[in-house]
This record gives sequence, structure tokens and C-alpha cells, in this order.
Amino acid sequence: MSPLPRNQLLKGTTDLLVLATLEQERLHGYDILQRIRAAGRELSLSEGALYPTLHRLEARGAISGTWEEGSAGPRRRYYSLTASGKRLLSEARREWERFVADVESVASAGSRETSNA
Amino acid sequence: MPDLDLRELYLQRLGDSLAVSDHEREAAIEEIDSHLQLAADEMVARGTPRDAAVRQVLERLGTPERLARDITSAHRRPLDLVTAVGVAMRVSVASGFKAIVLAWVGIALLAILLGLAVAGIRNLVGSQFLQADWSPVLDGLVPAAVGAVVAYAVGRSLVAPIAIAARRSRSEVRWPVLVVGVVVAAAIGLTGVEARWSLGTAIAMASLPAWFALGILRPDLVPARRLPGRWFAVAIVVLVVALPALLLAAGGRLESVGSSVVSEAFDPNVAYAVVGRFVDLEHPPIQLADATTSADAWIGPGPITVSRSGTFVNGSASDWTDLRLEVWQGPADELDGEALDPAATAPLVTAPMATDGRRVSGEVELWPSSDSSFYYVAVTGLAAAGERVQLAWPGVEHWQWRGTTLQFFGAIGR
Repeated sequence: MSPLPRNQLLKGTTDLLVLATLEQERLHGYDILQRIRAAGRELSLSEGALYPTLHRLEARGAISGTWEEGSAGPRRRYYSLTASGKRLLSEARREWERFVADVESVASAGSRETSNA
Repeated sequence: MPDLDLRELYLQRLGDSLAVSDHEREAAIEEIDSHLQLAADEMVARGTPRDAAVRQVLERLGTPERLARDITSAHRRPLDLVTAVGVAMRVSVASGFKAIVLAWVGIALLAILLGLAVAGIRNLVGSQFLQADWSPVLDGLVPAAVGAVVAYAVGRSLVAPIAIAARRSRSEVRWPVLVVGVVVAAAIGLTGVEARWSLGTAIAMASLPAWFALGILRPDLVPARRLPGRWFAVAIVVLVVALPALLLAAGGRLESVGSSVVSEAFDPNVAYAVVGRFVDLEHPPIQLADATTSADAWIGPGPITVSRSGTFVNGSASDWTDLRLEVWQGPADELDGEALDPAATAPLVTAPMATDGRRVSGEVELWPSSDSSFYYVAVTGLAAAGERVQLAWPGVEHWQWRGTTLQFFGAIGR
């Protein structure tokens, strides 16, 4: 069993993952999931977590969704980043970088002390 | 097609559990359905059998109730609970008003049927049935019946709109609504309506919380059916026209009913001997000048003060001792033909009267009973031989108890 359960780590970063995925182009839910899985094989974001996140971000005004007819099959709801979403993404990135730096600082301090001794 | 059934069942359960507006619900279901088809198609293209693909995608989505709860919570806004309170009030008033109208229409139609039945009985067995005083029964029964219908109707219509307004699942909303509604229904049932209660009608009125709870927990007992506006208008017309017409017709009929009571020789000294014999029925020694009470004909649950004063016109106060003002239990109803309860053995209340030798006065406090309305008020004294006698014309008073069910139960306890 991993000492760092990835599902727990993923919980706090779902918004960041979704916003970052939508930064380049507008996508529908299934595509967002595929892009995240393709970018990080260990990021097993589930469908059950994705759609509530999309609804929450849209309710906050960070993304906006529009229905479009699919080339084949059912209609799809495409999401794109709003101006508010872009600001939110920037803040989330800065917060994530600070968080990673803090964790790195604490995690590596122990190994430095060990090597110094 | 078991796969389609599985997918449709999932989407149906998802829709049932989503506590969002109709537009948001349809959009969420369509989006999940779209995802389901795309994901399953891709797995089928890679060689997975379709039924297995659908099952795997549904498993990754989680249970529909969990997904619905998470999507619903994603739509929450800071003032949702305030909105939910407003929605609760609006739905309560709207569904309560409709239920009141329908209940009264039902009662009006029932009354018409009963009127016809009474007319038939009258033709069969005479008019004795019509002489019974049904008003005390109806006075409590009607508000209890209307209250039960309204409580159930409000209860069954509250949960879904409140859940949508609060962006919570129905199961989250059901119990808080149940608790608050039961408290409100109990307050209304126990203190909201004043009437002449019997034990049965008081219990029926006090059971409004149970009817409300039934509406919350078993809304399916009465099939949901939207009443077309035209039928609702017809119901109001029936209520406005049929009920007054029935009352007018019933009034005219009752006036034409003759009494079939056969008068018999009546000796007041026998009928009221338990209170004391009359010294002189034609010229009683005390001429009452003032007879007052603190209550109107309709009294509440509290005590009433009965006052009597008068003068000795024949003889003087020295001929009698221990002058008392007494209130005795009257007849069960005014059709009994007697002014005193035959089973009475002692006054309900009694108090001494003051006299200066010529004038006499006194008052007594009575806690009226909720199941009695006729009272016999007498002025008595002890004759020289020690026999208690009635010194003035008695009065038969009709004070009708009227109060809330809570006061009724309090009166029973007392």
C-alpha cells in the first residue's frame, strides 16, 4: 500500500486539473477525462468526480458550457474557460506551486539532516 | 435489451435523486447519458462486449444517488436555505388553500347526501331523528376533518420543492421538514381552533401532526393528480353555491318540523326535590332583581362568576338561615324537558349569600365543564325545621363551553 494514497492527493487538485485541461481548448466531459488520463497515467480521475466538479465550476462562473450536436451520437456539452476561470487557474497554480515547495522543503529536510550526520 | 434497461434505470434513478430545477435536471441527465454512450462506444470499439462496457462505465460513475447528491451540492448557493424557507411557506399556503377548498366541497357534498338520507329516514321513522342537536358534534368534527385533509396535503407537497430550493436530496430534507411541520401542526391542532369539542373530535383535531407526518412519509397514499383549473373553479362554485343552498333548505325544513314531545303533569317539588322544595311557587319569598354572569352564552375554558341579588318580599331573612347560591348540573340537552340533571345529588358549586334582613346578594365561581352546557341556578336556605328550601325562582342557564383542544384536555383533566 502506497504511503501517499493518490485518491486523497487528487481530491484537492481536481479543480486545477479541469481548469488547466480547458486552458487550451474547449472540451466536453469525456474528452476532459481522456486528456487528464493521457497526461498523467496515475491520475485516475473518475467520472463520478468529474461531473460534479464541472457543475461546481460552472456555477462559480469559472467555466461555461454550451450544447453542440455531435458528429454522430448524442449532443455533447462543451466547456470553455471564462475570464474568471483564467484568474482562478492562475491562483490555483500559484497555490499548488507553494504547496509543492512547502511539502518538498519539509520532505527533503529530513534526508539532508541524515546525510549531514 | 438488458443494457438499455440498465442505462435507463440508472438515468431514472439519477433524475429522481437530483434536487435541482427541471432544466438543470434534464441537462445533467443528458450530459451523463452522452458520456455513457461515448465511453461505452469506445470500449466496444476496443472489443469489450457492449453490456460489459455499459456496466463498467456505470460502476465508474458510482451509484446514481451518490452522483446526484454530488451534482446537487455543486449547485448550492449561499442563500439556498433562505429560499427554501420561502418556498416552504409558498407551497404550504398554496397547497393548504387548495386542500381547504376541496375539503369543504367534499363536506358540502357529504352534507347534501346526509340531508337526503335524513329526509328518507324522516319519511320512514318520523321526525325524532331531526330533533337531536348535532351541532356540538359538527362544530368539532368539521374543523378536525378539514384540518386532517389540509395537514396531509401540505405534508405530501412540501418535500420535493424544498429539496430543490435547498439543493439537498429529499432524504436530507425530509426529516427536518417533518420535525418543523409536526411542531407547527401540533401548535395549530392544539391551540389554533376554538370549538365545542367532544373527546373524539378533540383527539381528531389534536392528531393533525400525525396526518402531516403521513403526508411526508407516505405521499403516495393519494395518487398525485393535477386538478385542472376548470375543475377547481367548479369546486369553488359548488362550495359557494351548494353549501348556502343546503343550509337554506335545511333551515326551512327544520322550521316545519313539529314537536312530538308529549307533555305530562309536572310537579317542580318532585322534579327539583334534590335541591330543596319550593316554599311558594306562586309567590317566592325572594324576588330576584339582578341576575348576572361574567360570561356570554359562549364561554371559554376559564371560570365564570355567577351573581344573584334580590329582596325579601314575603317575610324576612330571619325565617331562614344559611342562605346559599347554588349551581347544579342542568339537563344533557334542552330537549330533555327537565331543568335539572336527574342524576345530580349535590350542587356543582355553592357559596353563602349575604343579607341585611331585607336585601340578599351573593356570587359563586364556576369552572364550566366541556361536556355540559345547561346549568340550574338556585337560591336556597334552611327552614326552621332544618329542611333546605328554594327561596326564589330558579334559572336554567345555557353557557356553552368553547375553547381549543388543549384547553379541552385541560378541562377534562380538571
